[in-house]
Amino acid sequence: MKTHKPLDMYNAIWLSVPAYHDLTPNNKSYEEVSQWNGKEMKEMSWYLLGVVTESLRGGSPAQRPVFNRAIECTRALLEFYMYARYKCHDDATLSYMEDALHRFHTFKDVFLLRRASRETKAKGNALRTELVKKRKVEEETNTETWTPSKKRHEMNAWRDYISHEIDVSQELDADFNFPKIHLLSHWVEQIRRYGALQQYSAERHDQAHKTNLKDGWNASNHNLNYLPQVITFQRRILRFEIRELNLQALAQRRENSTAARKVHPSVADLAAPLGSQSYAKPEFIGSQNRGDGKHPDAMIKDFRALLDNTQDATHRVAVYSSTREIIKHKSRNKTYISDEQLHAMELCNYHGIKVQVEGLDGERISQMCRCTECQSWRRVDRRNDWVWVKQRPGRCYGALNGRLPWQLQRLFKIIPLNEDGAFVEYWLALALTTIPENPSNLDSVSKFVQVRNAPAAVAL
Amino acid sequence: MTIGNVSSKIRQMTSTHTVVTVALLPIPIKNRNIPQKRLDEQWETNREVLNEVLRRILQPLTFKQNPNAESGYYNVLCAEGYFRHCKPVLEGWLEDCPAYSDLHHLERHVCLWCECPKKELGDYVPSDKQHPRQDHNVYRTLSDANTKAADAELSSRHVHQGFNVLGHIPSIMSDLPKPDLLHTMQIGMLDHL
Repeated sequence: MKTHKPLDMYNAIWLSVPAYHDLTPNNKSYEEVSQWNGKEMKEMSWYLLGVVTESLRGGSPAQRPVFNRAIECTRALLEFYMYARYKCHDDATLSYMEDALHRFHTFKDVFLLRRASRETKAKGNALRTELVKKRKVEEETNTETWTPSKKRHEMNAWRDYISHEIDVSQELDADFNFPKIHLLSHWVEQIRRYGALQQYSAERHDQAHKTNLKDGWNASNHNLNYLPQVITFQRRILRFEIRELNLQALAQRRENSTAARKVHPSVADLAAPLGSQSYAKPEFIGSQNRGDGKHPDAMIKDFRALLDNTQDATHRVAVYSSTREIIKHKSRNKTYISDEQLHAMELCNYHGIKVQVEGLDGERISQMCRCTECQSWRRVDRRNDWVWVKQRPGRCYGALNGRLPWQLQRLFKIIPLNEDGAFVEYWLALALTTIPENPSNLDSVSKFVQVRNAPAAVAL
Repeated sequence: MTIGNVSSKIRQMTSTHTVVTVALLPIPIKNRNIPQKRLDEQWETNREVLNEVLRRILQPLTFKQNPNAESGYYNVLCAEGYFRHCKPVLEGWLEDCPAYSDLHHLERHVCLWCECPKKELGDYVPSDKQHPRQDHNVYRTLSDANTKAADAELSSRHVHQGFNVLGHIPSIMSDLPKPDLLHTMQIGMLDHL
């Protein structure tokens, strides 16, 4: 990165990674981070490939193969890491792991310069001094014969020659012979023998340093006799946890016995698959009050206020026209609502939506999508989360399964009158839409779907 | 077991059975502000001390005390005073590679499971063409032979010369190190590159 492109662009993209569910946004550039912890490494693995691909976009024809190799190498290593974190494996996942490791070793040479040791760098510096001396000698001997343009040309040639020579000498001396790169080649065999790697990870034990010691120390009076306090504190917490587990087990047993006596599920119930109706209904979160009074968004009570408070003109047009279209589509007579009725329509603003989704392990987890529009979130920058929106059925856009990312801009509920004179509620979202650059093909190197911004739209 | 840095008042309380002191390691505190040569010497001494302490703790389990242990099963004196016919399996939970290297009497910066030469650590090894696994029985035989040829053979396999108690226990020692996702991948690989 240092050799081919300024690091500033990489750092700028790194810092621009937005917050997303449990992903904390970076507040330090890549270079400023002095020490990584496990959680940061795990989070980094989610977006590292995107950052690398984006910062290595473009480049001269000579640079392009190097960039592609760097992206391929990063992708292979991250794939291997992601597969290694699986909680259960089969022959297919293990073969994917092998393949990713093989690809990583094929492309790893691109990072060889990064592996140059201190001795190699010193050797490179000595070589530079020697070559600079040679250049000076040549410059002095030809001072009279060289014209200024010839001199500039020669100096540029010398500069390229020196940097090339140093790179070659460092690449010849650098190597990847450190134990951790070799240990990876044993992992497939180890998984076959002992099971998934998550159970042997020292992450859980390192976490215990915090809960077992630091929490106890914080709860103690920090005097000389803190050790008994730490142990008593820990013992009390453990006792409560054990009692809670016992009570839960007892309650579960009682529930099971009563359920077995009373409920006999019908055959139809048993045959019914778990459909979308078994997910919990999305829950909307209102705008939170500030310390100095009510949140400005809480004051928006009707549609006119919403339009007045939408600063972007294109967003305002999108909100106005799309809401009209949606109400027309939902009405029985398929007629547009009048502007007066629309402006006076009751409206409620939201800052988040809690939805239940299925995680990678098949568990149902609640995820919070936040959308603060132009308001700051937790006293930092605004937070408008990206959401996946189904565009096409079937397997298109690779692993995205026909979904594309849209950025939420506003979440609101409108309560129009229908033809029968009754109030109905529609939950709407204003989002910045995207369209794929090349819909039929993924990017050949990074396997990403590249999208570009499209006009904002309101969706039901 | 503990390293012994908990105050004796707590350690000796009969009501807290959480900590059982088996041995104290007479190792000086870490001091990084000394020349590298002296640091290396200190590491070497620490490794020998650890080896000696382990030898004293695990003495009752070794081949010498149990001459009929070739099959792997033998009578072991248990804590309540009874003998049991069993096969001991050593298990431990260590963190990073250097701790395993010291425990197994290996040189630093070598593989924990196989005899991969140091200069080939960076090469890709398919799972069906792995290097030979480490075998403590072979190391014990070579160490006991105590000849120049045996010492050279040990050095070529990146094993330290001298007595290592793990080679004298009838159990499979190459299963002791476990793959560690945190130190090998998260802190190791992603940081190295």
